[in-house]
Amino acid sequence: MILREALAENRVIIAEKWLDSILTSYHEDGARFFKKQKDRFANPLGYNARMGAERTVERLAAGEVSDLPPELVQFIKLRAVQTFKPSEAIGFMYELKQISAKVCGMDLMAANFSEWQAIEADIDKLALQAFDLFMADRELIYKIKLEEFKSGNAGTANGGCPSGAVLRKHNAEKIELKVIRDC
Amino acid sequence: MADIKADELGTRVARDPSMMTGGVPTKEWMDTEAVFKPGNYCYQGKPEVVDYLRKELPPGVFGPAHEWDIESDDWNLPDNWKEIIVNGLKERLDKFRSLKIFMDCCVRCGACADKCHFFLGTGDPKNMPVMRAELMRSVYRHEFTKAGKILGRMAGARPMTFKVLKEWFMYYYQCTECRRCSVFCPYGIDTAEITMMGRELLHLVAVNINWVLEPVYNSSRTGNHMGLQPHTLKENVEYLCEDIEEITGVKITPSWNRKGAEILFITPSADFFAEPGIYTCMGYLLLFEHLGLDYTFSTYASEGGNFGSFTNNEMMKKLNGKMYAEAERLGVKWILGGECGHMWRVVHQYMSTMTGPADFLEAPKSPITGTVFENAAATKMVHISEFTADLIHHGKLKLDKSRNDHRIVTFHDSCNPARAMGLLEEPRYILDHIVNKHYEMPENTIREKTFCCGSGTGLNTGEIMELRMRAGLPRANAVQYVHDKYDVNTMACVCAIDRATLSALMGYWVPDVEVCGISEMVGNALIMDGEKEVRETGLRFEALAGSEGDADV
Repeated sequence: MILREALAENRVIIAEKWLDSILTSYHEDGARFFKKQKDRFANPLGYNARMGAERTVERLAAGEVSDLPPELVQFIKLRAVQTFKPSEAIGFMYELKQISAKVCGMDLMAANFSEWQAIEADIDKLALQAFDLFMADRELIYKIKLEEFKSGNAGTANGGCPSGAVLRKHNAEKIELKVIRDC
Repeated sequence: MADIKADELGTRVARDPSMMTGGVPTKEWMDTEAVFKPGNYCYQGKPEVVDYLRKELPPGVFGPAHEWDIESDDWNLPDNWKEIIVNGLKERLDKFRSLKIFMDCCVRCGACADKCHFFLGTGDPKNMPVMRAELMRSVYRHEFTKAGKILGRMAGARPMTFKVLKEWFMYYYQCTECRRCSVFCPYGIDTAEITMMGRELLHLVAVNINWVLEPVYNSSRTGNHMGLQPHTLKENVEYLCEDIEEITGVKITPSWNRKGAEILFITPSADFFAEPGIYTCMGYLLLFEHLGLDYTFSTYASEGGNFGSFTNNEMMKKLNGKMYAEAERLGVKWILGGECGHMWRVVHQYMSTMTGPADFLEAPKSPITGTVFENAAATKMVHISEFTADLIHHGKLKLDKSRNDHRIVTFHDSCNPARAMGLLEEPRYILDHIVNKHYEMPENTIREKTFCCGSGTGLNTGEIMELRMRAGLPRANAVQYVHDKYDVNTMACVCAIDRATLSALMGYWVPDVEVCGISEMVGNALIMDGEKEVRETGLRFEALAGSEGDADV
């Protein structure tokens, strides 16, 4: 448990460096604001990124990796609509490996290699969960597009003119949509 | 900045540009180009639509219709397009003093920079309101200021080029004219008006989006956004009345185009045909029946929304004028307006000098309470929430608010009613009397500081759904908070675009929260004469709290 203890001891600095790294995917003017503004309602992206990073590191140190903290879930939801490629949107999860190793010290990692392998496996689990969430969010977007189309709003600019009967028929169809496609 | 770099990590596999502007810019802002990709732009206007509107309005307002591909580097523009834009800017600087002031008076204090929901959801600095204005200011300086002409880029000036035009199209269609930034500007610079001018100038060379133009075209021809003809419009409302009868046992027969009615009622046409607006419309119908109000709908003025205000001032004037022309034709005393957003900005801020004065109408006076709405003395048009709040204040409505006990509500201040007409208290006063539980979102996200739905000004179209979701993040984030803290399951609002777009936004960010108009809940709570002994469902056939009914939830 030497390394887990080292992660716990260094969790603040690891989360900070991880946050810095995540924010490099935004323009520096945006990143500066996302890091500086602490009000969660004035800066939801920065808040979720910061809290998500801190709590994820805490969970990793405690070996609790069965799910992601809610703030990171929200942050991934945002990444899923920010036009990143999937590898860019989720790739930051893997950066936790290098940052943890660097902060805790390579020598310590080498001396406790089997424990380090277990931590790396935990980070992989977290990253795969992030990927699952990302895909679920993408599927949700397609579902919402379809539901909006069915609601009648889409007719505004498509020259349509459905009667009330047609609209009611569509609305009555409570179809459980299962969108299966990749992004 | 980070210690660990991407090349060191080898984990960021994709290295191509990714942000909506085409990548994390590494160049000065003037050198960073707008890159259009599917999903980050709205579809261009259909040539036949542009052509029709061009013939409808004075020459030069809409440029000649043409086929063009947004992703291409050739937009098939007229040869003299730069001259058209620069002359158009000059004309508007002379015509609108506010534009001239806004071009000159910004001191780059940065108060607005982090107040825009597009910036908060993207981190793109060109979505900072100050930068959005700078896109036009830079051209203004180059063309119309000595410093700009002499010093050029050193003075923040640049000539009008195709790259600039693309940038304008990108960012003037990433602004919802919500005016949150203007609340924080010490000089009162109204970025919405800069965006309006930007869009006007783009229209001069027929660079536009269909989601705005086709509703304008439909409204201009048939009276409403969707182009519903009179019989269809009437039939849609009859369907709603059938549902009302099934739910409440009360039969309602509204009147249409009736001359001599006391009041003309105008609402956004989405209330006639789109969910969840139709439930709000059912609320209006129940309220008017409850009062025995002498009112009429119009099939000609069947649109409260004014997408013309998202094109140019001439189109806005034409569509606004229809409402008053119809009021005069029908001989009503005054106009009652439904739950709409930008309709109220047009009415409160532009109507009286643009279309008015409406001297042929009377100062609005509630026939039920006798209240004279002096705030509407110039426009002769009263908001349904003002009207309803006054009724409640005078004890004229029989209400059972327990019928909304299945709803735990938060109120979203729609941008235009909140910031353009100051409608802050009335909806909350109504909520106090129609629901038992309603909770405010955090202070810096409501009232005059309210966050936009992210899809206003004609950006409520499906092809930019991801853009809408990231722009709506700050709003959704505040809703998430009250949902987690108070189990809020309903977001109430007084805007048709909100009702449509917040439904999608909640579907993505806070799926357990439904969106509804205030008037829908008024309709639920109203105890009608001759109604069923027990009302088992709400207006959308949802089960009421404690109901055993077989509701179609």
